[in-house]
Amino acid sequence: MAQFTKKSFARGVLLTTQHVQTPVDAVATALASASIDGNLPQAPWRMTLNLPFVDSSSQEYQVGTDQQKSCILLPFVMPPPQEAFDSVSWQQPVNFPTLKSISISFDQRAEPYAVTDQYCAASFEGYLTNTDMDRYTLTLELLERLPTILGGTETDFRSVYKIVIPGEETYGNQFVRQNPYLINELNLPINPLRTYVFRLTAHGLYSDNVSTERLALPSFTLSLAGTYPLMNRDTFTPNAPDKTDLLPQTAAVTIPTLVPNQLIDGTSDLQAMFSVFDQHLADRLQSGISDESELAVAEQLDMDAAYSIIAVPMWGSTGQVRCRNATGAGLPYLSGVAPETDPTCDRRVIPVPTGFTVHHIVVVQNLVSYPSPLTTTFAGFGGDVGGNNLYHKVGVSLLAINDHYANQQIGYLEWTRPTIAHQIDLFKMNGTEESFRLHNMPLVAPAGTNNVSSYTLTGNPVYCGSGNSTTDTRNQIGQMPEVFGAGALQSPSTNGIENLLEIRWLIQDAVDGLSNALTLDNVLVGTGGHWVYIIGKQILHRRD
Amino acid sequence: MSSVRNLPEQFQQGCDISASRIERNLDALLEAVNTVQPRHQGTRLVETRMVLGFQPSTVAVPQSLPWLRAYNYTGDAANWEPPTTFDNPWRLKATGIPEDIVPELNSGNLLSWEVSWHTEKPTLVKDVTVVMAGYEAEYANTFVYGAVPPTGKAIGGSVDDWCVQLFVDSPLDTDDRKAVTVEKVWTQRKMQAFTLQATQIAGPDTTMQPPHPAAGLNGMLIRLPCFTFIPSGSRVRVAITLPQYPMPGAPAASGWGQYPWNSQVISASIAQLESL
Repeated sequence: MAQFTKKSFARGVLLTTQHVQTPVDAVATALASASIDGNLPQAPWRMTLNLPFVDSSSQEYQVGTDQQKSCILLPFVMPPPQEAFDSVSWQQPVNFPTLKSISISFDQRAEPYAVTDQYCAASFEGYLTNTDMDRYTLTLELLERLPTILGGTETDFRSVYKIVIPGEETYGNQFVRQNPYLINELNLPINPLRTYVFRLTAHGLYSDNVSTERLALPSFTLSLAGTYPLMNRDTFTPNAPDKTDLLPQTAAVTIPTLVPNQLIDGTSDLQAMFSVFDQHLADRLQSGISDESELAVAEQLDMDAAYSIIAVPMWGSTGQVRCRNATGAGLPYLSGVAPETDPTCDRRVIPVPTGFTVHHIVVVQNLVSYPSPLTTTFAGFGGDVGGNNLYHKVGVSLLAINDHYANQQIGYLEWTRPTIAHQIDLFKMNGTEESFRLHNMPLVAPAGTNNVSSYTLTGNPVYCGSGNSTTDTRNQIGQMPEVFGAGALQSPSTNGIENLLEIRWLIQDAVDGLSNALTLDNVLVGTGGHWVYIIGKQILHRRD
Repeated sequence: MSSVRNLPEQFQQGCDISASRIERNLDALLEAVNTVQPRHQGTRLVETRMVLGFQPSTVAVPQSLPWLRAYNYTGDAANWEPPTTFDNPWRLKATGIPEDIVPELNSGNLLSWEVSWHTEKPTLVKDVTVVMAGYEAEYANTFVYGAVPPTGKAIGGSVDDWCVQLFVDSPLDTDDRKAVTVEKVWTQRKMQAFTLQATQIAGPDTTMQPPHPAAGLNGMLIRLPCFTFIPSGSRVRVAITLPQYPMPGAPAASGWGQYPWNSQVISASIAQLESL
């Protein structure tokens, strides 16, 4: 329904000034209060999952049904923003993200050949081989499941999309290869309260014939694109610029009042009235935020925040690590001597997304490790087999690196097997071995200020964005999530000049060690690595 | 008297002021604000971000995937079914190869990590950022030339033998790398210009939780502004290229060492601005 309407100027009806004045007054009021709806199109979102490599070890186990065979699994969730998240009655939100397209790619060195991996019997990794390119046939399936936090069982999946990409035709043609391969016009609704899992099978990568090369998909990339309705941006959030609190910036819109029988002279008549609106249209209707967290001086549009999700790969370049190979797997910062009680850590540092409000952080713990005796030498399944002192500690913080070096925590989560308290989902792809645990990372909040607008108790959304000398004074922010110590509200330690986002994932067993001999098949890093999803609202980008 | 440009009717002295002309203007105004068109919107771009991460293994001879040689030739063809012809020997343009590296003679090489994606709608690549964390015991890249520097380089001088590029496949000849459009290329730039911190921060880093076992964040922050328009239906690629100097001199040639992908922790990020 249109936001503004008017009565038709019907023939025979006496035209009064109110016929014009009433609708234009309504428009003027909306312009002056930054509440033009505008029926704007849906906003795009993009989530890109990059694996440094998919090698043959991930495809070696080919026993049983398709669901039992080894594969690469990439789980994700797309929860709604906090204000639409109902964790009391678990009602579905009104809006669902729509998945429109998937781009699938990997690096084959711009040739119609395959690339070898490190498990080749007679070649080095990264070499080109003129093999049967049907070995590059990929099957990508998108599975949906009810997460265990909502009562789902650990083994139930529903296939919502599946495609088989033939290797020879797609990657082996000398003249035209479809790498990247684009799947478009999907229009798949993504249920915000379900877990989704991409399952990639490429069994041709592996061969148990020692006279055949084993293959890899280097830099394997899934780039998902879709849409979600525009939303109002968050206001008064922790770390938001104090100058505006991200409130709509308004300016009066003055239009002349029409008087009957008035001479048209352009100063206070019909022409002057229409000129006011014309100028707004010519100047373009404003909204959005700049790279320095500046809003427009006067805004007119109501909604300017898009759904956004940043997929951060952690430990993706490590390969599978179990306790049995923790010493010697090349995990950094360890002593190299069992039992390895020191911590090991991966760290991502990315530019802070300006105008981004973090609503949820979902931590995805990968426990996938299939038997792969002829590649990694793992004879049996790996999984979560014990080790009650094994800690995973994951943190996300803003980082200022310039004259002022400081981190400002925005979320933190740690767990051991006995202390898992923020789990969203746990599933077993093959029906028996634990594949993934998804955890909800609580956001920072002072004591007593948690809210229920996420899977588990969490803090209010946190604003991220660089500032300048007018936007660097920020709203106060908590220091840690309430369950991990809370702390009083205080000015952010990054002083409103954060330019980076830092994500850390630390793994340590200070008691039994990472090479714990009692839990040799405990998976520290599963095939493809762990993930951290940062989910929130991205305010439209405005150039100063 | 000002004239209006976005509404169909002008009203001025001496002109007819009919109800139909007034209504035409009013309808145009209400349509403009009820359904705001792109031409009337000040902002209509959404920033999206893709993230890559590579923390090398610390084993003596590390796994090299996804770093692949930039030069395609029989010298690194697999043993069992080696290709003998190559369509794109030099699959990357304008990498600024250091003089001491001659891949054709199997004398060193360039190693690239390439990520690609297909755009369905027109987009702007806003920036490409590569953070290389170094100066640690495990990841000891100093980003300077070593005791036996390459030809023309000075001991202790900043390395300038790396390359980051953004390129788009030709829409007409998609798999001919001679036909690609190199939209942005950064090569032969002194790495020291991208130093994260003037003074290296000693560890362990406890300024956030969990504390990092090694030092504070030291290394290089390479932020490359692009603002490059990418047409719809494009195949976009970003490649990070590092030099691998020939042995036995490689370990002493520069901070990249013998295995250049192994000397730093890399976090890379590509920001795009996508249209409503």
